[in-house]
Amino acid sequence: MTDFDYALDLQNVSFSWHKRHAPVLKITEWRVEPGRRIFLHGASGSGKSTLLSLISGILVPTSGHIKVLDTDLTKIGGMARDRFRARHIGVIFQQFNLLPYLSVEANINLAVKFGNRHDANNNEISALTQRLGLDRSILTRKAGQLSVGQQQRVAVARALINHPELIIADEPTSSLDSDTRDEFMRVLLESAALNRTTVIFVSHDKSLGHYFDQEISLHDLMQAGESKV
Amino acid sequence: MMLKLAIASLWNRKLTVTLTVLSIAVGVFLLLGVEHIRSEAKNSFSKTVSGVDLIVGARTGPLNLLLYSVFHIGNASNNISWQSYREFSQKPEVAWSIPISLGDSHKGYRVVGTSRDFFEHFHYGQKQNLAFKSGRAFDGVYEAVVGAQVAKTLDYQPGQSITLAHGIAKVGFSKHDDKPFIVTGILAPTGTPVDQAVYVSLAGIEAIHIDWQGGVHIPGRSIGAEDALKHDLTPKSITAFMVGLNSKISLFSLQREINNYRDEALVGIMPGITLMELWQMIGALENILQLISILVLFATLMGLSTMLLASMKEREREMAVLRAIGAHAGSLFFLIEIEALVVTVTGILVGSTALCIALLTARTELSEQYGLFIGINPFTPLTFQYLLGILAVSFVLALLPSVSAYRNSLGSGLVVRT
Repeated sequence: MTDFDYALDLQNVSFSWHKRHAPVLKITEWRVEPGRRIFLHGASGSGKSTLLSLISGILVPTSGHIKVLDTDLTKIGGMARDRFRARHIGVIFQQFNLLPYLSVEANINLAVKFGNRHDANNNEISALTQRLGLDRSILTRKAGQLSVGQQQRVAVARALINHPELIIADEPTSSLDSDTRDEFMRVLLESAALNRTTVIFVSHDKSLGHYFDQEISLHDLMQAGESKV
Repeated sequence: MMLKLAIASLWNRKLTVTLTVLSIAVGVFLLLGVEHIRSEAKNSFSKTVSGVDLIVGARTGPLNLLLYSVFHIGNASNNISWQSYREFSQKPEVAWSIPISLGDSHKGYRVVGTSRDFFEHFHYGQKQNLAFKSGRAFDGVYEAVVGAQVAKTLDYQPGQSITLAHGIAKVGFSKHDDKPFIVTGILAPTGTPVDQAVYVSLAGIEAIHIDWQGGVHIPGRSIGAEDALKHDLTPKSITAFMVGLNSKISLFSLQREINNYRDEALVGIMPGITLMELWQMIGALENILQLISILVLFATLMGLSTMLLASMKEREREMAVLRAIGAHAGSLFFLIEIEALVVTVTGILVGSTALCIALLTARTELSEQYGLFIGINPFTPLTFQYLLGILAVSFVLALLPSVSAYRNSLGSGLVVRT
């Protein structure tokens, strides 16, 4: 199923919020092979979220190229990037992943609609949520009424519903206690493994590193580039 | 999908949204209300009298004469003599004339002393004749014809006995209860002040005042209803008269003759021209009212824009979530615009409904107190133009929060920075 060389391929990427400011992020080269599960750690404010925004195509680098699944995000327009994200990338935030006023089902459906997948059906949603250990009755409840742990699992369900090739998670466990956290990690990684989905998981909590194939610090990632020059 | 999302999001903010909807409803109510009453009043006034070439009364302002003789608003300052009426009504160029004698009332409705010519020659609307819904015109001295609204409100049928009161207060304290009248006919509805009046013969007016002098009953001198008939019941004076001419050519010369009449100070007016003067006077006021209602509506739409803009800060996370699952920045722009339009449309619906209810409720009051006949349907092609205009203004004003949503979603990343 993987007909691309790299899930992620960054070349000479730099990003600054304003043109004249010094770049907040600079990565000379970073490649991730398909199906890998990467743990990226770094202190808060080190640019982790910015990097994820760049990979998901919400921000555009000031210079350099970002290829996701062999698609160069810097060469396609904003609308195309949004479509690409909807279809191929699942995003999970720290918290507040869901629109609190919509039901769980409507939240997941929203991703299906933005992903423009007409083949998806309700069975798929309930099957997925069940696999993630969520009770069927939860689907009709408002997302805002769920516990944080439940919300995060629904967020996983929403990230997975369009069978993305890449999952980006930004500190998704930081608001969970240790039991729900372990459960969350298990559910996320098992589901990802099913489709050999590439996972980029960002956290400052190094104790989670053992779940992953590879641990990288953002600091090293940026340094590595520097040293090569 | 965006519409459903917009509605769900608005529902999530029920309280502020409801208040905004209500304020827009008030603005719409005001604008459409003013517009409706404005056009309906004009319509109602101009269709009240038709085919009357001149109205003649004691010298006074033309407007005053028109208002009291046709609309039954206000009072005559003076009467004119029967002689003068006789002289002018018998002129060769005069085709018909209708004498009018005012000053009495029945349960708050004006009593008009007139002749049978009234039923034959008075026209309203597009030269429509008066018609009887039941019964016939008065014939005898103590017979009366009532307007449609009078009959409906007081539930009168031909044969009903009524007493007239002196003066026009709703609660008349001096009654002509010694000389009751019999209702002989009920007029069909006209949508004009004709519906709000009781018509009797001039002789009837004369008869009930035969033992009165200077507006009070002469003590110790009572003349019974039967005895009164033995007296000469030719009136000594009337309030005004309407004239229809054989040919319009003589209109101005007759008017000049009336205005220059030596024996008595008279004035003759052309109802159409006086109505136009009235509109010119009211026009300025109307424009101010309209301007105020437009400004009020504009302010409420600004309020809508403010409400949306203020909510943008707390909705940054909502926007970030939508972006993360693949919404375009443009979709967020449209989301906010759709929200603005949903609120505006709801406001328009609430405001229009309230207006219809208000018109339905106030209709009787307006027609009875002010002689204004207002339709209950405020929707005209013009109204729809107004409503489209409101939507357009709402769209333009909502550009501010919408563009802000668009730009924020482009300028910031996945995570909401606080």
